[in-house]
Formats: sequence, C-alpha cells, structure tokens
Amino acid sequence: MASISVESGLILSAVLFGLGLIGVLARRNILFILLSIEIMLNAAGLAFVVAGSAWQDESPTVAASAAATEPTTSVGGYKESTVPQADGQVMFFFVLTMAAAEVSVGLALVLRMHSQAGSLDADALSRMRG
Amino acid sequence: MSWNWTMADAQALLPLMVVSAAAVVVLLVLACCRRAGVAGILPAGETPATRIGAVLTVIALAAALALLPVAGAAAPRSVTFLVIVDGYGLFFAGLLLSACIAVALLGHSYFRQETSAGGEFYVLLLLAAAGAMTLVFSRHFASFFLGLEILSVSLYALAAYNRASLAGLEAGVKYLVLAASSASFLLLGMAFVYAKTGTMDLGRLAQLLNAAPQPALVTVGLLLIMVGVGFKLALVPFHLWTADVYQGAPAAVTAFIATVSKGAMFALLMRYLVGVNFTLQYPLLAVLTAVAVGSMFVGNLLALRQENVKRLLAYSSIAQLGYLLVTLLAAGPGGRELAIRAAGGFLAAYFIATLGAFGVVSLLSSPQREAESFDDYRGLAWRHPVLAGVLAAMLLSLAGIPLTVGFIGKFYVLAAGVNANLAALVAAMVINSGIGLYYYLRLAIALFTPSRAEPPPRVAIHPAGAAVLAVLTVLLVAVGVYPQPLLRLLAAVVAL
Repeated sequence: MASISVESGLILSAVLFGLGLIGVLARRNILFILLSIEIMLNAAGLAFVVAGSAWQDESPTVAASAAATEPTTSVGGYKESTVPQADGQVMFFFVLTMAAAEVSVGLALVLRMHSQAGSLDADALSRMRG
Repeated sequence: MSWNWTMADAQALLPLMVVSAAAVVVLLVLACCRRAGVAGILPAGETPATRIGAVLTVIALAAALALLPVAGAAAPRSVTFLVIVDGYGLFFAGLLLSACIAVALLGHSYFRQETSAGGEFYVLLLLAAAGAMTLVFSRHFASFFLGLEILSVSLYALAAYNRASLAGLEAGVKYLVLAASSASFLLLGMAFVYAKTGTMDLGRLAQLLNAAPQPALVTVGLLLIMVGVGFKLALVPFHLWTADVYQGAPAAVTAFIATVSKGAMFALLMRYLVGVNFTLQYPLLAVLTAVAVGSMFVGNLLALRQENVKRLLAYSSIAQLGYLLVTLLAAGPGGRELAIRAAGGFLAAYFIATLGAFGVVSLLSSPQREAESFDDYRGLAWRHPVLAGVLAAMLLSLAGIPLTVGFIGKFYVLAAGVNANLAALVAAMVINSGIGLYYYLRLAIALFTPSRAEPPPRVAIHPAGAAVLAVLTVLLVAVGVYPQPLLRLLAAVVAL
C-alpha cells in the first residue's frame, strides 16, 4: 500500500485548520462561523488519525523507553501493554461526538438569535463594551 | 490490554459517580414533576419542580463531598489509564464541590421569582461539576479533553440561561464560538504531541519534558495546548471574552465560571507542569512568564477605570490568575511542595472571595435586572448594611489585606516566588498588588458614600443565599486570623 508520510498528513491538517480559523475570524454570519469551527475541529481530528496511523504498526519506542525507566506508577490493575495502539482513532471518535454536542447547543443559540435579535449577523449581537 | 474492575476502583471513583448519576436523576425527577404539575397532582407552575431540583442537587453535591474521604482511603489509585485519584485531586475536588454547592444555593436565590425557567439550571450545574472533577482527576489526553468539553458545553447553555436577556444570548454565543475554537487549538496541539511522542499519558509526557529538550513539533503542540488552557483560565492574550461573558451571564453562573471552571483547569495544569524542569523547555518558560506578567498588568489596568462591577471583577480575576501562575513557575525541580501548597492556599482564598463578591452581586440581581453598575452599589451600606460589609470584606481579601484569607494566599505565593528567586515576577506581583488596591478600595468606598442618584429598589434577600454569604464571610475571617487548619490540610495534600 502506498503510504502517505506523517509529515504531509500533519501539514494537510494544519492547512485545513488555518482555513477554518480564517473562516471564524472573517465570517460574520453565525452559521458560517459554526461551520468554520467544525472545519477546525475536523482538522484536529484528521491530525489524530494521521498520528494514530503512524503509531499503530510499531510498538511505540519513546513510550516504551519511558515506561522502562519509570518507577511503578501503575498502581491500579492496569498494566502497560505492548499491543499496537489505536489511540489516535479513538480520539477522533471523541472529537466527532463532542463536535455534535457543541453544534446542537450552538444551533439552539442560533434559533434564539434569529427570534430575539432578528439577525444572524454576529456583529449585530455585539453590544457589550468597556 | 487487560484490566479488571475492582471494588477499590469503584470506591475511588465514588464521588465522581455520585455527581454524574445525580445529573441524570435530577433531569428525570424534573420531567416527572412537570408532568405531575400538568396533571394537577403537584401545585401548578414550575416553582415546586425547581425547588425539588435545588434540594436534590445540594444533597448530591454534599454527598459527593462527604464521600471524598472514602475515596481517599483507596488513594492514590489509577482507575484505568484515564483517571488517577490521589490526595492532590481529592483536595481540589473538595474545593470544586464546595464551590458548586455555593453556586447552587446562589442560583436558587437568583432564580427565586422566575417562573418560566425550570430546574435545568441544576442539571447543567451538576454536569459541569462532573466535567470539572474529571479534569482534576485526569491523567490522559482523552479524559482531559472529555472533562473540558463536558464543562464547556454545560457552560454555553448556562451563560445564555436568561431567556429574555439579549446580553445573556451574546455572552452564550461569544463563549461558544471562542471556547470551541480554543478547544480545537487544544486538540490540534494534542495531535502534534502524540504524533511525535506516541503517548497520550500526561504523566509520561511530563517525564519526557524533564528528560531532554523536545523537538520543535512537540513544542508547537504544547504551545497550542496552552492556547486552550489559557483560554479557559482567561489569561492574557486569551482574555478578551472574559468581561463580556461575565457581564452577560447570570451572576450565579459568573461565579461558577470565575471559580470552578478556572480552578479545575489550573489544578490539571499544575499537576503535570509542577515538576517540570523549565530550564530544558525554554520556549515554554518564556511564554508562561510573559503570560503571567501580561495577565497581572492587563487585568489590573483594565479594571482601574471600570464602571461596571461585574466587568471589574472579571478583570480582577484575570490579574488574580496571573498571580497564581507564579506558583507554577516557582515550582522547578526543588520547590514542588511549596508551590503546590501555595497554589492550593491561593486558590482556596480566591474561591472564597470571588464566590462572596459574586454572591452579593447575585443576591442584589434578579433575572429581570442585573445589579452591575456602580450606581447600584453607591450607598449600599445604608440600604443593606450587612451585604455592604460582606462585599467590602471580600474586596479587601481580593486585595490581600492582612486578617483576611486573601493575605494568606498572596503571602504564600510570594514566598514560593522568593524561594525560587523569581525576582522579576515577584516585583511585578508587588507592583500589581498596589494597582489592585486602588480599584478594590474604589468600589469598597463607593459602598459607604451616599448615593446622588435615585437609589435602586431594596430587594428581599433569600435565606439560602444569605446562608452561603454568612459561611463564606466566617471562613474568610477565621482562616485569615487562624490559618493553621488550612496549612495542615495543604501539607497533608502534598504528602499523600
């Protein structure tokens, strides 16, 4: 399988993240701001998937060497495993779940904005000063 | 990956489980009560349901607080690779739970006349408390992130809780957009760190930082994580949301954002950065020092001419967090114990005074009208002598006047700073304490000067809120005069 290097994957996610950030800063419509935040979150999710795929095949060397020198901090029943890890992919699921929760609260606020402020323009809402 | 659930694990997690279960129970009970209200079994209206929600919430939080020693019997213990329950975490969990009880009671008095808003306030409060406790106990990126988001998403809804208020809506939207963006910075940073080191365990990362200077990608990742953390702590330059959200949110929620949300995040930061040898991580040291000094000066200078009490307290809290960062930088390899004790002492003092100050604001406010301008407080000593005295005491404590708990906290932080030879930071802190004195006293004096304008109507004081303020004031003075019990507790925390 032709592989993509970790660096290029991380650069891609950084570029996506930058695009999302520009959207948050430049857009004035609250719906587009929420969309841009989604892009930023998914860029971070992509970075996790890339990082996860980098570590899934090999036993993590850095982590393993640190574990060897570490005195016994594993006080619970949990033991450090040498099984390939899927942590990056797991984190991506957390990111997806959390993005959904965030957007659902966000859309509730958008509805209130529409009915109370009568506009979806973020600037129209900004009144507090000082 | 083998791991067996044991009774000791359950014991260690008991306080967290009680708070999480309580959120679900209160939600269901509220739904049933509303149904019963419609059917005519309970008196109509939302008031009984809200009261039941408040009582259940306080009972659950108090039960979790009482269970902390039970969990302590099993500590220190890692429950899976996500959560660690130890003396340090239990101390901060106790602090957070006590603050949540105070906020629940203050919220109950704040929403007293409100009939349309049901008891969702308590559900959101319990969820936020569960998120904050997860943060304090977390030892892995996943639990760190989950705790942070449970806390944040509950706070979006809480900040916009006043449905009639446009300022509340603005506060909610601003907090949501900025918190979500900062959370994505945090996530990207975590991904970068993980890509390079292959570990998401916070304890192991702290060890790696201590072992050698790290490659650029890890440093970039750590700085991105600091964006997320700095936002939550409202440190300069991520402080821009603070004043608007503090002003727009209901006063009881503001008290929560100022104390619980910041305290939980700082406890996590402190736990893993306190032993780090910063001489190996120069970029991190430079950034943290700049952030600490910047927060002190920007917070205090913006507060100087402030005519809105909630915004004044917001800027004051930015400066206070700047002082708190000194303990983190003072830690180093040798000063770990003193730094943790200083941070614990300072945070306890900050919690008492901030909850007290926002408590007075909250008692004078109602969902229809927030008492936030200076005019609402001018001559308060004649309208509500006791409230004026309490607010003055809280302000003196924030300023760090002797015989208040604020002095003990500040003294501890200064001692930690001097011990670590942080001359520049200690000097900045002393200068800023002087600046801070000006605006704290400006508000305190306004309380005792006769008001020129038409005085605002006298409000009835709810007994629940009054009880909270009484307890906070007694603590403020008692610990300020006789700090030994607090110092012994802090020493025990470090030892465990």
